[in-house]
Amino acid sequence: MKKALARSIDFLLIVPLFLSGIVHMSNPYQFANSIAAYELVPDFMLLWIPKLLSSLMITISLYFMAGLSLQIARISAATLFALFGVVQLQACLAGAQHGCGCFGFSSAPISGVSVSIPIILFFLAITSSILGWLPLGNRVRWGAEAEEASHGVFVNNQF
Amino acid sequence: MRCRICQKTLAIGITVFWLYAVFTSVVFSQDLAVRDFLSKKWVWQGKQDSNVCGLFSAIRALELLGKPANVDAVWNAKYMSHREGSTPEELRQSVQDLGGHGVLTTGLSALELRSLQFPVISNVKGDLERSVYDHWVCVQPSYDFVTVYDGAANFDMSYPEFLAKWNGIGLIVSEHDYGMLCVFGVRALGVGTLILIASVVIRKLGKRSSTRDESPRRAILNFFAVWVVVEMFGSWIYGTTFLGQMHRNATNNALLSHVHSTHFEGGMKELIAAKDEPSHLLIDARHPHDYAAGTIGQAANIPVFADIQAITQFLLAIPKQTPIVVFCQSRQCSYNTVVGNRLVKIGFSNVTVVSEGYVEFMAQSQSGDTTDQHNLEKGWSR
Repeated sequence: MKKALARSIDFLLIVPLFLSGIVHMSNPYQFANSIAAYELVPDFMLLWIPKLLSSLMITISLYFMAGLSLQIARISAATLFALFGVVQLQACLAGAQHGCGCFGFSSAPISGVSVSIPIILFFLAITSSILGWLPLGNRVRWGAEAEEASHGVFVNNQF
Repeated sequence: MRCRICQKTLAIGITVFWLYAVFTSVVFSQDLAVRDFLSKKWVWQGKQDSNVCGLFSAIRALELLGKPANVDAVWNAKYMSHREGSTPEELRQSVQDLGGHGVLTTGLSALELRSLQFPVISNVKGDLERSVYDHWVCVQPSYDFVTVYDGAANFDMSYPEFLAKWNGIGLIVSEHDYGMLCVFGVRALGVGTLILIASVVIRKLGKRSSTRDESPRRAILNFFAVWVVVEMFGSWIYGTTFLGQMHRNATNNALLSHVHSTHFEGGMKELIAAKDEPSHLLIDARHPHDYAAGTIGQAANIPVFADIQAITQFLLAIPKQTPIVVFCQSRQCSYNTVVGNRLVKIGFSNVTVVSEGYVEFMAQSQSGDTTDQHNLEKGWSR
């Protein structure tokens, strides 16, 4: 049950990650424009951040699709969504009027809705990660070990 | 043993890749040699009337398809309901009514443009200083570059430079109604290729991680390896970058609207000093006909309507740290501030906008209170 729920959440996360990653990867300059509007990163980093973020989003979604190293993918997704959420929240509180740059639709201005989306996705990723952890207690399992555990095959006779 | 060697090779490969990328980003730019650019003949083009840019683009797109259209046929309020110009839907309707087929799409990429080879009416920034996409141009893509038809002008542009101006919204104009099918086909091909390459890598790495002894360190390393593969092949498929790095000029163009102007303020003293100092560049921000009637010393003309791209081309050979002084007609004129802001956005670091202009300078010179009467007379004679 836990495994099914965690995998369902994983598949839910694939959609925004992959869609956003592909859109941003196809035009990183537009994404750079959106990031620059937040005025948080120096100019020289804007040569890199759009590309790194877009490829990271696609990589995480591919890991979810493949079901490989799920905990790494879940933690990465949670970190990414937390970052997006915090950045947008501070811009929203500062009264910024520029586009949010989310999911490629950069013309959509920052609003409560645009802030809430990454926060919801962050909690989903965290929930999935916790569910992936639960069968093995406090011990972190990576790759195939975690995969086996999530399939109900308990290794090393721990349970 | 074999795995350990593979792992080390992979780690070294990733490190070398990132070091190379960081190195190229730091040392990429270099200033060109200073030339005697004042002797250049330069004709500044006025801007096109932008609210009919969409209809002009529609006509041009049909011409490129071998279907010359009558301008009067689209000179109708139903194709231009807003003062700012035509909406995408109105453009699509005008193309349909002129006998073509228009498919309106969003999220277009260089990959799709390159593959389709149809004229595309694209939504771009009219001026790089602005953050809004308020202009339509017709684009004829080819494999290496796009030919942009902007009003009466046409010029070639690299894909990264075009992407920096474009929001991905385009009206694909074709003779037959299969544009959307082509877009979906190419898009699916691009995404499919990326997934295929990445899944091969994941599968290879996954085979090794199926053993029980996979450590967190190896899992994280594998994750980074897939990340690099996705990054490199994604850039290659979408044609957005060179060796994993974004095109620097295109990025600068994309970010121009976010650069805050920090020019210096000056007065008559700075104006006279700049006129007499050969290392300073004096810029006249008035219209060309005013400039032709007379200017101060050896001032170059950058009129207020010149956009950032044209100014960049004009001052291509000038080092960015050159002291520049910009003046206008008089104290009431603000063209100098506009041009000064553009110069700062281009990257010039020592720009002074002087409050006094040509009129004040002439008045002062007639009273004999300038340091170089000879040069001034030379200026009057122009």
